[in-house]
Amino acid sequence: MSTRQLISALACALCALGALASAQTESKPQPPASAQGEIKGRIISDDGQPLAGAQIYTRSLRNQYAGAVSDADGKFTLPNLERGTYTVNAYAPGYYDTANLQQERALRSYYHPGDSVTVRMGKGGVITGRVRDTSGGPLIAMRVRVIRLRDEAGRAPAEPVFVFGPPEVNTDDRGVYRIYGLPPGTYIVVAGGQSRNGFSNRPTAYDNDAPTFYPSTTRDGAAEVVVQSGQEATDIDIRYRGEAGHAASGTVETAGAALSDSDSVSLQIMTAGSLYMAGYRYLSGRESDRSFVFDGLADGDYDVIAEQYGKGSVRTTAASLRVSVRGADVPGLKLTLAPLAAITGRVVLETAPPTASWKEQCQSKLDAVAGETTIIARREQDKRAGAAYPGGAKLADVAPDDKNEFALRGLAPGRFRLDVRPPGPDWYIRTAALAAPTPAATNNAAAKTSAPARAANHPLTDGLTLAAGAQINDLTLTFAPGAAALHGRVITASEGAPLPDLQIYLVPAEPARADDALSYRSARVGNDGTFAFTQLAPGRYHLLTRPAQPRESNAADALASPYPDAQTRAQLRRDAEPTETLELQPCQRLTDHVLRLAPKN
Amino acid sequence: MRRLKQHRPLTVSPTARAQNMYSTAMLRATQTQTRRHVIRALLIIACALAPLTYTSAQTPAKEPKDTGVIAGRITREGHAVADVLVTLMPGDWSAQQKPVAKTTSDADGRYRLANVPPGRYYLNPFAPAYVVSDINPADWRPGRMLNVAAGDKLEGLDFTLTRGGVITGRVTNADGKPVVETMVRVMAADEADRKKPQYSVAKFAFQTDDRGVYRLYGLSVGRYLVYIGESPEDGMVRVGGAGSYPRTFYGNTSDIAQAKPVEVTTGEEATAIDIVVGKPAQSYAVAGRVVDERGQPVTGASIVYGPINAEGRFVGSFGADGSKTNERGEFRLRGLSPNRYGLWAMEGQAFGGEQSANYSSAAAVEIIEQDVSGIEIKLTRGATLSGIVTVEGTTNPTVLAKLAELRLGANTRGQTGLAPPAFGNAKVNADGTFTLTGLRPGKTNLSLGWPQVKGFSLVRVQRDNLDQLEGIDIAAGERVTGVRVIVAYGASTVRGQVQFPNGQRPVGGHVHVEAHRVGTPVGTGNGSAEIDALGRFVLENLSAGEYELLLFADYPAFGTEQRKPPVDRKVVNVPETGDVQVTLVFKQEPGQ
Repeated sequence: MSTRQLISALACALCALGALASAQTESKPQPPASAQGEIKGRIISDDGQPLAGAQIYTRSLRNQYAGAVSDADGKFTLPNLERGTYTVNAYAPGYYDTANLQQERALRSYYHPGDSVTVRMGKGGVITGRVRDTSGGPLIAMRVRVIRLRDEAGRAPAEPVFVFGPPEVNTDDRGVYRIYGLPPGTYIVVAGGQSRNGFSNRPTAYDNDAPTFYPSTTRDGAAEVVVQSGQEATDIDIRYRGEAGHAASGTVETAGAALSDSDSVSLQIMTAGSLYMAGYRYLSGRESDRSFVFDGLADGDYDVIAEQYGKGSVRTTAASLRVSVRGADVPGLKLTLAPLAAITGRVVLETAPPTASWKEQCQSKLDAVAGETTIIARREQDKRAGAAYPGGAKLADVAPDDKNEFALRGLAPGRFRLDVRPPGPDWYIRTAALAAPTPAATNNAAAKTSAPARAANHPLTDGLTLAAGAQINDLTLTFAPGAAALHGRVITASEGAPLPDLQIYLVPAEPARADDALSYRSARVGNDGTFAFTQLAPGRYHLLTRPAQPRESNAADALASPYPDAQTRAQLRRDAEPTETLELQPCQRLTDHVLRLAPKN
Repeated sequence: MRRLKQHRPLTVSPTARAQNMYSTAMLRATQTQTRRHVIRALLIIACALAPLTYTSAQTPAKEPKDTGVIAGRITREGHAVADVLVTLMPGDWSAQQKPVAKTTSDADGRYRLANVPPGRYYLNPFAPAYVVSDINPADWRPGRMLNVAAGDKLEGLDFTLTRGGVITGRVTNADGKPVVETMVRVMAADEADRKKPQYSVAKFAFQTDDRGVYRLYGLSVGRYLVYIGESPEDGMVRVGGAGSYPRTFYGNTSDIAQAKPVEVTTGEEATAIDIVVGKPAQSYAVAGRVVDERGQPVTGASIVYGPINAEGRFVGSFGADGSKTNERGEFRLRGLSPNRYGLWAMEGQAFGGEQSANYSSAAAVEIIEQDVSGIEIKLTRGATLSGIVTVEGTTNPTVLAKLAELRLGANTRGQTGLAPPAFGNAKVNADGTFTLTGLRPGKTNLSLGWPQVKGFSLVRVQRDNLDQLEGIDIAAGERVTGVRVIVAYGASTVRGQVQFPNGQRPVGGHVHVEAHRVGTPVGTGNGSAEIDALGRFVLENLSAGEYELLLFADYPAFGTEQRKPPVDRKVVNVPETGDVQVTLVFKQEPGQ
């Protein structure tokens, strides 16, 4: 479990930073001189006890890193932080960071200096057992890995997770393995197979074998192991089959310019449509040999994904290929790296009128800087069957630089949702606009043909479809101060009646805002009837509910857009017309608003 | 019939076991003739069927003359051990991390790797719970190092296996809570030399688990000191994060003299080797700023640091936490354990390998019981040195085309006090021109930088047509031009044999040979090679000329520069092409 450790070797430290920095913009000049702040917090275990000695890592979206260690009360301080947007993660051996799990579901939290953070760490579960050969003898120094298929609520991760991936251990001289610190969920266990680190300078007798899944089967027949927080799943014994695997080999090629020294290429082979990474390779830019071999593959379909990293650990090009292994080696694969997509633009922060009296109502001094904004791009799951899983970032986050510009680079082709977080609680997003694309900016045919459609679609409410290598430029996001918030509860018409599963909507009441897509909001009502809307444009709103769509069994509902689409907006507008309105003043925090459902008749 | 001690008896039929033989790494000593025939027959079939077996365990009818053969026998207590995987790993660190060849021992314990291309390799049987003769499992790449030449028949490379011992126990803190994910290490409890640092001899598992339990296996017979935690003498750099535990030995003491040794005997378990640790060592922060010559803040610089000794020399590894100085030039490094450190600044990414126009001062810091602030690191615009690289004695366009792959490094001597090591190097352009920047004043030696390009060696450096044997004198901020760097491209090989006293190569130590052109300083990069398990060495890609070979008994400790004198030296004349044979004698100095 070396990756979980505090890394002391320099090379490893750089690798780790590179890996963490995978979704970043290019390095940009520093922000203008500004006061530094700190993020304070507390680490507690899920039973509410403080955790001492936990390691806390913070990363700014401009690639500044800092760390801290929690004290005896679980408290920590990350001091001297530049203004900007930060993520906070914690590590304590044997525990898991619930924020990491949210990250797994692409629901990362972002913080600003001045914020207080409570990091909840769960006591990890354990999977332990023995690996034996078919005659019952212990197999020693055998790699064992677990793959988390679903969380405790039965949701599969939106994307395969690599950096925070499953731990890998070796059996001891008795054939015993023990994997701990596991977040609750449903797992499969695999013995043998390739190291997830991509190499081992200590070859074992199992390196060319196809892996054996618990109890003694292939990936398809793998038995699931349910892990509960802090509990042990024991006797997860694997009878190792030791079947010969096959090799898939080939080369990585560049379509245009040659790779430079600062470039590197990472290669993964994933079981198609699955979360099992059957192999990983890293080709450094200094190696002229661009060939790869993945050994020990069982029969089945795989996706080989190559991603090239350039300066600043930004993905620049990628390629992927579906490979079918059927009882023989598959040589001669050719992956041709092609450019990845990018979204660039700028952020505008409007200023409040100097005479505005409402400023006193605000929580903050309204002195936010653009760098405190967060722009997140998430790729929607591609449900088409048969297509190889593409290379490139499926999740990227960025904060604007000191010129208020941002760039989300290295994006995989596909449909992306933008999640835009205003720079503070008193700010809301007023407009999101794309300039008409210039012919030079769209360097491929697919991007050109989608241009007219883009103009009609709203970049935030409808998402952005990126063709391979597409460059979407000049996305302007305008934020205004004076955001309001509305918290409340939905109650049934008759007391005690069960509350249906509801979606709640805010619909702007002023005719002038009827076509303002960002003034419409959607949220799911909690089981207890509560709802919350924050960072709203001030104004008059209708509030209405609709029966909610059934929850999907994956992360999709957790990532649902807060903005209704055009069709829903039109319908909401009509439905809202006869209902009452409520008015939200700038910086007003309206709490305890009660919405009583109309009696059914 | 006899077999290795198993944790549970085997009751399967011979056929069932034989079918499984390729899928397990269990060690079996087979004694009966019938069994041997059955297995040999199956082995032939398996070899024919298995494309993954690179070289057959059977002797091929013809052996190509341009490759070598490695063969031997694996035994345990004098008996053959079958089914042991034997791998041959490449000796070059940059090569693919996979075996060049592998095979499995036959029923008589014999293995044979044929068609081995000439080169340097590590030969290692896979027997993780066993102690393998003459192999130090703690080596970065364990195995017997071998130089294989065309036509070599390296037979009799036998291995004996001994079931290793086990040390197991639990690590807890003063409150009785498990200490999770801490490294457990052992060092030989050598009464005579208890201070000699040694690395873990554990092979695979050496961390405590979530219960604080550890289990070290495959240990050779002996007495060990078991410990966790770190000592400032380790020279390790922690990049941020939690304070580590101070070094605590079994016996719950930080004093090595008080540590309780653990006796390990063949195949036995030493259990309940429990360690109770105190509080983790507090860690501290160092803050300061980076300024330029005019005292203006430098933004975006990385701070690199490493432990230094009382004499102000770097004594271990270097670290950087990935953060950069802010717009006021300020930095803050966290998580440093009490120790002496040297700090310096690198513009941009730490160890990015890029040249800078400036050189950095180094600041010495001693952390005792509190944070340190107010450290100032200065970047000064350095001198530049430009010129041209020429290749001596060749007009071969393929060789000349490789000029652009070369990199030149500069090392300046004669500084007083703490100086950061030189990391940046300059790319040589296709026409041979180069410019080194950011050089500090002093005597500067040029060398071929990393990555080395095979075949090239530095012959001499000239300024104004004069050889600069002692280095080039560079004044502060000087712009030195017109420097000629003469390199040679060679394809000759020196093959050597080292004669050891009593014919025994010392186990565990690293014996290596270094070559330098007569008239150039030692260590200017004409090559060095490790002496292999058979006492042989190969120095390749040398160009014609006179070289001195120096035989060293061990590498100097990192950062000390104080190495023991060579145990032998010899001057050889390397021709334009072809091989030279040389014999060196490992002279044990009296009293050593």
